[in-house]
Amino acid sequence: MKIEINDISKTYASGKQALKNINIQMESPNLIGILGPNGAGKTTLMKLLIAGLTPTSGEILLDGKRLLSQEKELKSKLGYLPQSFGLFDELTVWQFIDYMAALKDIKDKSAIETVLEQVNLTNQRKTRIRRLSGGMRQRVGIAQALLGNPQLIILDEPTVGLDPEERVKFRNIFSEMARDKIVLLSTHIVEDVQSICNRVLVLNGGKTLFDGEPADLVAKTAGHVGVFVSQIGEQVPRNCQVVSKVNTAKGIQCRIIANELPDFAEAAEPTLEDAYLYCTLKGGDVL
Amino acid sequence: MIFSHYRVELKRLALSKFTWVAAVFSLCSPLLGYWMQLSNPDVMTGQFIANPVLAGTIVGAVIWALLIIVESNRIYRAQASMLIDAIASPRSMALIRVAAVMTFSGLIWLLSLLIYLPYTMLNLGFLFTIDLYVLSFLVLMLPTWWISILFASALSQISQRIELTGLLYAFLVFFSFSGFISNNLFGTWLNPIVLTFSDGFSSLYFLRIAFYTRLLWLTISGGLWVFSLLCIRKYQKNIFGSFWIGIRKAYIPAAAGLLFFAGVFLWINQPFVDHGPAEFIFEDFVSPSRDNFRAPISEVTYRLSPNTSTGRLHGVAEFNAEGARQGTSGSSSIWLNPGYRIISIEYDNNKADFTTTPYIIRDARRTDFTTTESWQTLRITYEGFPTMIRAFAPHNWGNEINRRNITLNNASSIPTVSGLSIPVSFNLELALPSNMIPVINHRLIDDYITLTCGTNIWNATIDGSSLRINAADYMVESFVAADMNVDFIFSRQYQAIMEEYNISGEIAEVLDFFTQRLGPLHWAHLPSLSMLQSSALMFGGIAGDGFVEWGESIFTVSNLDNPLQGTNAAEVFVHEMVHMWWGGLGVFSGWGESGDIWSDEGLTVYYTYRFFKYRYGEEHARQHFVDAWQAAVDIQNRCFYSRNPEFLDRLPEMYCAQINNRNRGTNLYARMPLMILRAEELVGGPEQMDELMRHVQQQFSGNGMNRPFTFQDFLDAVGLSEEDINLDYPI
Repeated sequence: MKIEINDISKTYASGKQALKNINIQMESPNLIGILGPNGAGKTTLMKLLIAGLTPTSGEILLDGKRLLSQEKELKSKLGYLPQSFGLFDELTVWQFIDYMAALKDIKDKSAIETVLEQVNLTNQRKTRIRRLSGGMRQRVGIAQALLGNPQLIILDEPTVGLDPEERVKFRNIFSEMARDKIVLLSTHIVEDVQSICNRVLVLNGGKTLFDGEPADLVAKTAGHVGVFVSQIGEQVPRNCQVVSKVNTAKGIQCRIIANELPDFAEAAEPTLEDAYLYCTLKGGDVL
Repeated sequence: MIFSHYRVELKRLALSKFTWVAAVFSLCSPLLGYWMQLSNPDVMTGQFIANPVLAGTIVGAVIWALLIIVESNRIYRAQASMLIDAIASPRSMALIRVAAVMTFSGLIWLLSLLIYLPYTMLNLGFLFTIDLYVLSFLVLMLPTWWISILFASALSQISQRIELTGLLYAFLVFFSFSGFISNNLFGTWLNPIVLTFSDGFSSLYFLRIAFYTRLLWLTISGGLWVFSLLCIRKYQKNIFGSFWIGIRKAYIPAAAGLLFFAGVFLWINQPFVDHGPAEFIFEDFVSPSRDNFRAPISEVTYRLSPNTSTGRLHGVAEFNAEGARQGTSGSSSIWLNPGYRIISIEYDNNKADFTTTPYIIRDARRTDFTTTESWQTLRITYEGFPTMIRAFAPHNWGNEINRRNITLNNASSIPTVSGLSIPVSFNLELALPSNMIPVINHRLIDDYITLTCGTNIWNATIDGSSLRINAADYMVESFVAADMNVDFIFSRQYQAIMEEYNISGEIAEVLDFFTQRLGPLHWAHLPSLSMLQSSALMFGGIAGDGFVEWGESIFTVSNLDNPLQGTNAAEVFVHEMVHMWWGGLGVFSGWGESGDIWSDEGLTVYYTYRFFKYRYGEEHARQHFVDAWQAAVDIQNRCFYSRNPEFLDRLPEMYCAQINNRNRGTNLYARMPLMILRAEELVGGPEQMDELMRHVQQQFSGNGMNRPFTFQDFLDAVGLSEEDINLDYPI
């Protein structure tokens, strides 16, 4: 499967421009993490990819043909988990997945068992959805997205509400799924991207700030991350962005990113989170 | 694929508590019908089939509409659509959702039909027929539920807001019940008009109309629903943006337009009600002879074949001129029921050109034709479904043709042709199913031949020029009362009731009572008097030259068990028989238009009161007759337009006709009887009144005076002046 996003812009009726001249190409296999602050345009991009929105300009091609002209084909290949969604509370977990399986024209009931096992809901298969916790509901949402082994999986904040153990497990599932398909993962949790994505897309203000391998993003941040210990009441220089503060016996250990590190700061090994923050801070100029 | 979507949606619906709440309420809703009077509850099938089914129809329809509104809203609000729309087309899902709710409602409908079956059978006993029971559920309830579901679903898809959808749906409900549509047979989408069912004859009349109106509203609601598919939000656009995208799929607006068009077509071309004036105008039936068209006719033959399956009549009217080619050439008019189509007009071997006009008077429409040569034989062939008079719809005096009953009146049976000088009798050949007995102009006929196909051809020579046909599976009970032979003709279904309540004995008692007081009936010379029970479509009754015809509800168990309840049924029973004494006096000096209150109704109503006074006592008679007359007169006197008729002309014609018709009713049935009652007091009491009226009967009976019995004749007979019996109120 190949998706080409050519010079896409999206302006809502309210006048807000959510995406500006985005150009991305995706080909399976690929596990792409989309990072960006709130309002960066991540969800808009995803809705464009599931034909839930039309672009203001530009076009999206699915295997060389206009996406909007082959919605039916797209839906048959798509697994989608929106950021917020509702379930039918009166159904049991199994019934809901069966419902979604019917919509996907999946006749093999073992596919339902498979996804329930994948998301660790086999024991809750007969539980009514209204009785599930937030995390379990999220897992039901993921299960329906994975149902039927779709060629294109689009997950908007899939690990929200999951405990750390589950997050690790799901990362592995996504990674496994991406071996022969395109998986698009939008998240705030940089760690999720760092651990499994072979490609990262950083969006901010509707623009692409970075599109490449996570290691490249990290490498470009080298020399711009430092640590120092400050005392209580001491001001951090204005040209520095504090990433984290840790109280230690010597004082507060601050981790900062900056174009030019101050003399008192000791250079540190950048992480993907540092890189993402540095990228958004600089609006992509540094890249 | 669609089927698997439908299957799971049905399953999902079955697991929703809202569905079961709707199911339980709609299952219970027919119970309301045992208290509500949506159809004539006097008739047993009305009480135990029509009323529960209508209650279930209306309440159930609203409940299912609420369900689909709630379900649709839940899917939008709970954002389940976010997941579903990514997989399936929202339009397909809308179709599946509405189909699932319709299926579920269909299952509950079936359950309702089964649940109420034993109770209905128990109560109706021998009057129960499974076909009427199932047809009522099938024609009234199920399609109305579906119409309601389609409307609610369409509104939900258009507005996508529960409160707005609810408001719009409430408006549609209001429309159906509102005053400006509630008397329109075709506008009441939610509450099909079923004025009455029939125990002894047929209820198909209203079921036929209901079937038609359900079809009409299914197409309109279906059209709106298909149209609403265009409004389903797509690409997060608003209603207009989504509509613009949707309309590009040309088959959707085309299908919506087609359904709307079909609905409008059905409305305009409905075959049940004519397109005459909305209010009945008591205009003389003028049938102008055009140009010099005329012919002295020596023989008239009508060959009529009602089709009891389709409800249509095929007729041939043949007029033979006296002598050779006496019928002149020229233009003339034919008057026939507006539902009939003239197939051909032939004179000898020629075909006449004809044009059907939109001009309708009373129950007939005019067709103009032209003959270019003189002729010997004029033959008119016609066919169609008899319509009811618009002014009487839905409270109709309808004609009907079905497997269990035929009622056809004048222009609904035979044509009237201007310019023909018709002889005093005509020949009739009437083809009927072998289980039906005809009553022609209220008389039994006995000459028929049986064809092999289960049809009898009845032949008769009928006096007069008008024709009324009643035909059904009748029983005839013949007996002697007041030295007169009486044929009591009633539906075979009513045999047990007629015997149990000794109706022939009741008839004999009434005839004896009036013979003793007013002298022998003029029609006593006839071979027999005819007392005919006709279908429940006849409200009240009519009487004429030695016959009485009562509507079925006069003899229903509920009315016979409560003869004093409002006196209506028992009163009509007696009233029509009294008419045989007063109806033949030629007293019609008008139809009781404003200012003219003299007619045979006054004396008939007065003598009906006298019978009730004799039978049930003075107190009862005062309460149900005299006080009721006075109340009606008081209401009339309070009406501004009754007191100031010069302002009537300023009202629109329809309102003017309404007021005139109401005044006419009060004058005939309340004011005049009160005046006669006052005359009774002034002449010294009822016995003296009887003595005087017996003398009037001798003088005028059968129009022996060769002139109408006028109000002045009445005043002269009782020796009073108009001022003596004036009620001191302006008329």
